Amino acid sequence: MKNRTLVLIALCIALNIGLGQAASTLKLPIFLDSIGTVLAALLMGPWIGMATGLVTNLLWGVISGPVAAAFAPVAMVIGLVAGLAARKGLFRSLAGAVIAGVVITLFVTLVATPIRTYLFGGVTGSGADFFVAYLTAVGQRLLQSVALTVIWTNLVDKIVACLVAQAVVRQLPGRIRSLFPGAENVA
Amino acid sequence: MRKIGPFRSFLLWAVWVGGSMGLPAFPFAAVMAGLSAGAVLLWPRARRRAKAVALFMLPLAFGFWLIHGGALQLFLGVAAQPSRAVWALGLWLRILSVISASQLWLEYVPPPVLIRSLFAGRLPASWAFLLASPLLLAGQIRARAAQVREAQLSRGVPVHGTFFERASSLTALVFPLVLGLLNELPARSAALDMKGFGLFPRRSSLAGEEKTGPRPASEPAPPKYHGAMAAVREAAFLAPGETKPVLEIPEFSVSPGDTAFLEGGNGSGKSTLASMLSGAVPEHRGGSIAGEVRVLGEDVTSRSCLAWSPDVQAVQQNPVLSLSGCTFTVREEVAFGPENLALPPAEIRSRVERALDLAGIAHLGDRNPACLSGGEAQKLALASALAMNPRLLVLDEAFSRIHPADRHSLASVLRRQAMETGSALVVLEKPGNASSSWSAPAGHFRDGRLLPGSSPVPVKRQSSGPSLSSGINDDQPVLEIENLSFRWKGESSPLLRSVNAVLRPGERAALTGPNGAGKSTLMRLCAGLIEPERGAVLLGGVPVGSMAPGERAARIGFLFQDAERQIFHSTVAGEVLFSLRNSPLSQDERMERMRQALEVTGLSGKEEKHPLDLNAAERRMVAVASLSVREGDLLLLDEPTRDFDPEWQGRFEEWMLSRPEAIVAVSHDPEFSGRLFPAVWSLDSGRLTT
Repeated sequence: MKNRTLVLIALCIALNIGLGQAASTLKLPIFLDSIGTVLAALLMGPWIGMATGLVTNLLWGVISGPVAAAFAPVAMVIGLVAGLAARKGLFRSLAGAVIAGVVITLFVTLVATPIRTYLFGGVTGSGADFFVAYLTAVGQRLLQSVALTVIWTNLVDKIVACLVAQAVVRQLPGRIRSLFPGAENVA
Repeated sequence: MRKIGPFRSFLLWAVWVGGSMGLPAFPFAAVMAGLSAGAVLLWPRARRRAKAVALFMLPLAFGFWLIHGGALQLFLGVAAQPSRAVWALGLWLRILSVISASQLWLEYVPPPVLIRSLFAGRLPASWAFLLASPLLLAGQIRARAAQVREAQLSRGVPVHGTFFERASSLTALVFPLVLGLLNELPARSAALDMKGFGLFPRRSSLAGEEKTGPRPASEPAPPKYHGAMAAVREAAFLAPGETKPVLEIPEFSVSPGDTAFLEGGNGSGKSTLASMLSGAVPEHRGGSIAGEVRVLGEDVTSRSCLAWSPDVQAVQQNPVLSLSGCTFTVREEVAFGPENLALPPAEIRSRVERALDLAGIAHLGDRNPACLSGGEAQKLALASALAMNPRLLVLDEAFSRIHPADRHSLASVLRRQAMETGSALVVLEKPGNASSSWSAPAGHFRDGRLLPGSSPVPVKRQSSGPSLSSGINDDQPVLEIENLSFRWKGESSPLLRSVNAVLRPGERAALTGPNGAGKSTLMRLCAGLIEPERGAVLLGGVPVGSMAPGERAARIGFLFQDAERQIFHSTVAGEVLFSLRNSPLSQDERMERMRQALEVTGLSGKEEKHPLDLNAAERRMVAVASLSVREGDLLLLDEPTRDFDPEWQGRFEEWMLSRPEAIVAVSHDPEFSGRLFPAVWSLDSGRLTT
């Protein structure tokens, strides 16, 4: 792997961590911790996006504990799907980026729901637990209740991540854009 | 007791996790949870982590009770399943066991230990790099986010407030941050190439057990080359998609043992030449080379930047960008490059000590590279390059933050070093004070060409001196600083003690003082960006702290040290017009204002350019133009002339003198402050003398 790619991945991981922390200090109701992953996927393709997601969560694991590391497959899927969506040309328009955000959320739900249900009993220790508790109490199966919660908490975040990453790539100076083959998929 | 290494302890942790998740919950997981949670509480070093465990496990317990405890079912009148509550308790205990064991492992292997052992171990170095460098970068990002936030706050972007205000200000925060980082990417990756990272499949490491390096110590020396270290003839650099060259070099060469000193102003082509000579074109600097550029007798494009690193080193202006981000002491940072060359440990050690001595930072060997001052970091970047034993060393404004007295001694050390080792030195500097440290310039950059000899004496556009009459100005003061005291949170001694000053309309004051005296802090207090401990800053009689950000931004213009922190539009015009977004002017008037502002700042014709594609002086002028479209009461300029060559400085001085506002400017240049500022405020040991 070229050093340039390594540095890009490192920058994007640091962005995930930095913005994730900023979002919680600004008390915004979204995570913002996958903008770097989507950005890496747009600039260098799905595999690099996947690696960015994986290492981001491994690092969160080193910083804060193993829960983030358990969700590493989720972060990998975000990078992979974002990169594939870019190859399909979804990031050429604003509407496309929103659709990409929805598609990413669906895949995230597929991967995150089993992890949350079987590893953590569907519990997160956050306000979302009330929602899951209510749904299961009124007769929903646990798996479905968790899936609904995952969609509900991720949809806005993933759409925002896609829109921000798209706007950043659009606003890159030409000098930097020309270094990345993937950037031409983002008009 | 033999110490268990990080890798063994990781295996132990993995076994523990496997057991906690796989064995029956009762009694195994319960006992394991008790053991590991107990260990967190009993091991004194880990006790501080107990809070993190509790903060995670208690809400989780509540969630488990809520979802699986059956309370809600009871409330809603649905049949509860007691077996689920038992299962949930078991799962909670499993999680407790894993979390506690992980905290123990994290305490046992803190990040520096982990990263050192990753680099010394068998894992590919690229993975170690990915796990190490984001930690340093995240620190840099946090610091920069604070600067961006401040810059935007001073432009009236609301940072607090309703959800929609916070969400909309997020773009103004996120974009300068992300764009700035990506803009620096080529510089960072070129620096990593310069350190030879990834050149050999196995690197040696000083941190691991003592062993000989992967390369044999008695390697046959490469045949010594005795011709010119760099020879350029009829060469040009072309930007991507352009046919007109950015830089033309009719003839330039430097022989072994020689020092070539070249002068050039902002954007004249110094960095372009540095990229050409170090093999960074086209990988880190998009574009192409035409003509003949030979380094050590070889065509420069025949090798990649990485492959040139054992022979050619280029040091760039911003030292922070050349840190590897994988090391925790200055000594390790200097050793990082030689380690990548897979040299034997003894050789690495002697190279490191010599490089630290040459750069004059042997006393900083154990300091954290991330906590150095600008000048110290530049010396570290220089030492890292010297430790690679380059045969050609290119220094691109590599001394800008080093104290002038040290520059002289470094220059003579480097010249002597080149002569003794038969290597060559190419020094690129702005015309002006740096030149006295070196011999007469061998060449200068002019209108996109490298010409021989020194540049014609720069016609410094001497701006007229203070235009104020010496009579007493007894208008109502614009700015009043009354008994102002300030201390940073957690500091015992105050930074500012009862500072008093008055500035009347149209007056100009220069703020001077040693590094770290609190000049920038005083400016921030004047702008209302931070709150004083005691005393007040009054703008036209009203405390600045009590004004709304929008009103404050309309009356106070703040030029920050690093102007690019605020840039988030993709055109110069968009960036300048952002300052007028809330003004009542019509569209035509706004465009007219912008046109005038770009004209006085020398940016006419650059409306549609990307601000980050401009050179350092022009980029700073974009920030100046953003101030220029509006008229307030007070301008605060923090080291305004740092990036300017004499020509841009002249233009800036003309702009400053034409402004109607009262001005406070931080400056390290006594000539500049003496000539243009009737009042000099000097700040030292927390006291201000006016």
